[in-house]
Amino acid sequence: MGEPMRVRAVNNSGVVEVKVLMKHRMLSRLSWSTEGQLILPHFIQTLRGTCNGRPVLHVHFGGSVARDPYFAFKFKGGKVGDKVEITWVDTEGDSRTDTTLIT
Amino acid sequence: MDQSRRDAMRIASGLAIAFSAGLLKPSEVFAEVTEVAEVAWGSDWNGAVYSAKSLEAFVIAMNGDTTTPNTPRTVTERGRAPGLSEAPNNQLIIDAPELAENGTNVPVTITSKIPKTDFIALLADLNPNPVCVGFHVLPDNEPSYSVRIKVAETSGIVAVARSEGRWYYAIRDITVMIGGCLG
Repeated sequence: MGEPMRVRAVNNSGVVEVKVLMKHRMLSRLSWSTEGQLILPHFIQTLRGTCNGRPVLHVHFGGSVARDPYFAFKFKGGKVGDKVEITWVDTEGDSRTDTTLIT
Repeated sequence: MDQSRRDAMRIASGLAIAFSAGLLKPSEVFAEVTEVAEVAWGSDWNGAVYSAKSLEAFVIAMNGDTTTPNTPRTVTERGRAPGLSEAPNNQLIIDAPELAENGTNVPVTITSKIPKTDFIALLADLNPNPVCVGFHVLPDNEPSYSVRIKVAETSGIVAVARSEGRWYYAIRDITVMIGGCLG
């Protein structure tokens, strides 16, 4: 499993702004380690979010996203106390899900 | 109690093996989740789209055309992709620093004011992998997203939005002092 991410969701007069900080190395291309071993690209491909089970986020990443990606988005129809769940899946099939409550 | 823990470990390791062997795709695991939510998520991650070498190749790949070669921007002339045109004034806004000191971490916010936008993508023109992010605009979303991207060299950041099957793009030039494609 991946490392935990930080999720914060704030209700701002009907519009919920969610900020996500993931921890991931986001290697975009083939490289070799100092020991001469091949390192395959390794980055987050899919990011999905739900609010009380309702989909509110669907994003695909390519290779050119910064290391330890930060991401922010907005959605309508959330209330204080609703559960926001964010999941990512990377190229190796690894995934991580974190939840937070809207404040 | 110890038995149940052992069972959990066995299931977890079995899942890991299934993932790594490609027997069980993450999309299938997600499919179970979507069944609970009873909503279709739309398309999965598509390698042809996210390895596109230019804006035109990206739009062509998104339209499902696999016969056109994937060419870099320097080869393709701008505006050759069908259904692609420049966004009307101030309808597709890219908010990015004019001067980025460090190309490995450039904050970009894109906002679409084009009605019925259902997909937005962000590209860094001269990167080895230009396509940075593709946003599916879900019904409840506001079409405004922030993300931090890598920018290899001084070039244009391209936002492209799809609305009712047509594509609109906007370009903003930024200056990069230290290139960001070491990772």
